[in-house]
Amino acid sequence: MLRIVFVNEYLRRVRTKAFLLTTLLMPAGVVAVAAVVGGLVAHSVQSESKQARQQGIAVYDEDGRLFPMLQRNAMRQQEDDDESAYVLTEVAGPLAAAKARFRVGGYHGLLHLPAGLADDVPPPIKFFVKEKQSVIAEGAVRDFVLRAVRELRLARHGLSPEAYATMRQRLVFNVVGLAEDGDEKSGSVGASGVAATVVAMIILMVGAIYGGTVMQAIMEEKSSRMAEVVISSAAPFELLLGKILAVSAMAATQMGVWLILLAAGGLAVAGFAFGDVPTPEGGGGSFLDDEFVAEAFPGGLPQVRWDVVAVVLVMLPLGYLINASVFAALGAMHENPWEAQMSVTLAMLPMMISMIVAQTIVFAPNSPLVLVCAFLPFTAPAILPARMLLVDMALGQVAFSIVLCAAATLGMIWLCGRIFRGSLLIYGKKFGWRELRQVIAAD
Amino acid sequence: MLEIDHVTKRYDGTLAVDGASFSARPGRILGLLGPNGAGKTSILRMVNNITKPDGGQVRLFGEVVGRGTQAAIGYMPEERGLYKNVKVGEQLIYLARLKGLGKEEARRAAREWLDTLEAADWRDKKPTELSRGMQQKVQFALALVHAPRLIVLDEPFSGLDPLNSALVEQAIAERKAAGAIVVFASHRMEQVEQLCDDICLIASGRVLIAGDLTEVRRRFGRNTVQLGFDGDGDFVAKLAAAGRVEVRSQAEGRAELHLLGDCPPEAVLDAARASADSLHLFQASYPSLREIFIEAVGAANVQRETEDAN
Repeated sequence: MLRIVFVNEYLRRVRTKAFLLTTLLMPAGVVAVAAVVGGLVAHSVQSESKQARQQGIAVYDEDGRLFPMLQRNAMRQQEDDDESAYVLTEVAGPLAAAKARFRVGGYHGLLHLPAGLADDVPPPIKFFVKEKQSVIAEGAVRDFVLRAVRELRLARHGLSPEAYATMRQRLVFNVVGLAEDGDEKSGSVGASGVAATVVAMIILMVGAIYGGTVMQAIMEEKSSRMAEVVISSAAPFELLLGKILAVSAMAATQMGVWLILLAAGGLAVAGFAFGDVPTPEGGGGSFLDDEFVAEAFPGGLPQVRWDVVAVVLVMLPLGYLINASVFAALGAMHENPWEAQMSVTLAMLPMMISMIVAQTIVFAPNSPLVLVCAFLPFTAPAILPARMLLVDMALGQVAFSIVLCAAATLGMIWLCGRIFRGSLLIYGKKFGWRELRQVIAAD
Repeated sequence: MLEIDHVTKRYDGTLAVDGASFSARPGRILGLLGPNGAGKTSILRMVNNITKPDGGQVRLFGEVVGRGTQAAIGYMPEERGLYKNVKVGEQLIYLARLKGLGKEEARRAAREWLDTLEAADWRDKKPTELSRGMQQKVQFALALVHAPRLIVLDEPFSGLDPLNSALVEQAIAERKAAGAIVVFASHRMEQVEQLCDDICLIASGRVLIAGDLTEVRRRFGRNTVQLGFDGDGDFVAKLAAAGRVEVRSQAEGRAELHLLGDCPPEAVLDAARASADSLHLFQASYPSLREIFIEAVGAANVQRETEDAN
């Protein structure tokens, strides 16, 4: 019976024109807009950068040692970026006169390098431009200027660039839990916090987007006046579960198609629009380079914990289902879509709590709040896996939390089925707490 | 056989069904009658296992109704509709599948029912493309698509024109002939009178009258007399004044009288012969269902008021 309800509900949803349009056209639209905007931006940045390089930069170097370093760095950047080098011209005389000449001249910018840049408290560098320019073009100038200043500072302390490179070598600091049996368990607090937030975010997003669809499906069943006929053929529990699973499958189908199309389209757009744009420090263009990872995760990326992955794979659907059942109950309690929408805050509350606790878990993974949330069915899907990354949880505790969540999910769907069945007897009447109590207690 | 055995149902302190007992037999049509709020829909929902009785039992072919009996029942509730954006054919197949039919069997049954109701062209249409009467026929087909052994219809003819009513009546008669139990609730007495073999009249959740319709009418006796005469009609007024009859209608040379107390039809015949110049019509008949309904419900109301007063 459940299979019949599920297949019927799923096919009904995925066969509609609206589904096909939103599933196929939305990512295509996003990719098309991204391609057009990205292409235009990339073209504008490239032409601006080319123009700036050709026009050249006037350099007012008060120290006198920086200009040759700048020229060397500009040449090096040309090699890294495969672009023409900035034409640098040293200007002398009073700064005011240099600025006056710049205003009427053809230079792209005037770079004022005051004396004392290698001091402990350096004065600010000023880069005068006639028009504000793009972040990327500005970044390219700043990049080779800062390199030159860094060399000057190293020279002041008698350090070689090699010594500097050694100093910049990344250090890995891992916190390793040593179990009584000698097992080592490494884990990054930062990564755990991110994992918890990501799981909570996914549950929140999926819940917010598709919970509404579940609610609508239940309201449609009521408003179609078919519910009484259907419930005389199938148990409300099966009907509800079939509907919720069908909407979940529809969501999975839609998100799967979106992910594939967006990934393919995103790669194509990125390759087309941003493939040749210079990146700071002349890196290889990957945003997840070592430096980024080192900054984001001081303890290093944690090793993949397959036990946690397994728990996430179990808890994510459970988290969705338990929250979807709340939306379903709200759908059963309302006939007016506007009133139903107003009550959605109630359904979002557990998901919001998960989000907030997920943000705080890194600070106190053993706090009573986190401990309780790791077992509470509404919050456990997000908090349990995150806590597993931080604290050595016994298998029994994990199993208990999962079983509790699964039982609560089934219980919620059963309860929602009763509300749904009971709500059939209350056509056109406002559904309050009194009615809710009645329909739950009714046999 | 469908047996309603001392069934009680209460909603939040209100007694909707009060120890109701009656039965419906295969190959016969039972009309469930009663004023608004009498408890008809409550009984039908318990028969369909949508709600459970607080007391007593509902049995179908000896089995207490539950999940196991649902596939044997076809239900057309009073509050009915269709999925707006689903094709008619798909709705029929879905319901047939829920009632236990296989995929192919469900397809075939859906096709046959649409043909029976002269609605084959609607298979690929959505309800929004159909008139109210057409939708009603589809709802009727939804209840019967899986060839149920018990057919429960709540006000099945409301909204149907005479032609479609006849079509539905014919379909019901065919199912009856095939041995199905048919229970239908209605306010339309003439339709119940015309279609039903048995009736069950309920008011305030209690069964007032139940049984074979002819037997019930016989129980109420030949208490209606119709007269056609020439000449003096004063005898009618005299009988009424004596408290022996109640005048239902009267016109020049014509009268319909309701016999009161133990007044026999012969007493009216004798009075008419004595007074009128000639008598060309005298018919003593059983009361109509409408009369039985009014009399029984009226008496029940009086009894309830008395009980309430005590």
